[in-house]
Amino acid sequence: MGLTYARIRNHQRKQALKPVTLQPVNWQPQVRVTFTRDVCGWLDREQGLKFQFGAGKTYLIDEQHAVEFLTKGYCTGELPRAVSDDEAAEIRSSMVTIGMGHAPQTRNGGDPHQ
Amino acid sequence: MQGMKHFAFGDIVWKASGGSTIKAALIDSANYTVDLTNHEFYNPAFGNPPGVTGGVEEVLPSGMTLIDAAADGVVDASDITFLATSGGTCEGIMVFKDTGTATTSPVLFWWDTASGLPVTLGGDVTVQWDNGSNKIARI
Repeated sequence: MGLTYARIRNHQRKQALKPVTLQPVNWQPQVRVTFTRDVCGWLDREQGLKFQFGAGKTYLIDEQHAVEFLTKGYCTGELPRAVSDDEAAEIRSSMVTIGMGHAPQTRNGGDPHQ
Repeated sequence: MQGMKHFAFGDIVWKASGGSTIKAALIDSANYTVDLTNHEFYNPAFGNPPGVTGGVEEVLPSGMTLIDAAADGVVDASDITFLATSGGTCEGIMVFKDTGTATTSPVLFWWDTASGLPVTLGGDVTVQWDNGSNKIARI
């Protein structure tokens, strides 16, 4: 016995297509990253305006900053583009670290580690 | 600098959720001379926009991300990075509680000796707290 089927007619009327106008936007590619430390910088040095990304929090940032912060190890996430070793070295060249491990620390005129 | 007194008074709540607003600043000793006996509170001069006048070259605009103590008697927080710094040389790091008013914001800790200090500003400067048993400090 052969298969039988019924063709169901589509009674829905299709909407007439309307022309679409493309509008240019300036949206930057957004990259989702999670910061591993508190990171702050200047929005406007003259006005004393700063921004801060909190450690452990996730933000959407533009591709340029994502590449910089991910390469420097300030955050985790997926690199939006490949970064060569030379470029990575250049990006990391402007980093200075103050290491507080076992540093003599002064509190109330004494060393809080003692 | 009487940070311990403010811990004892209960003025400082150092915990990850609902803690005090604790900030860190890089200090240029050319603009500020630390006085451990008399400087109990944040110097009012620091209330100016950082880098314009006063002693602070860089300060965290929001509070540090505090970490709950894993061991008794220590305080800890996430490391801090100041992006694209510029200016002079900083010889000290200060940690204070920001109450919103300089004259009531107690200074808690001060360091002028650490690996990388003094630091000439330029590029990114990271303050990496001790990852050993002492963390930021023992109280």
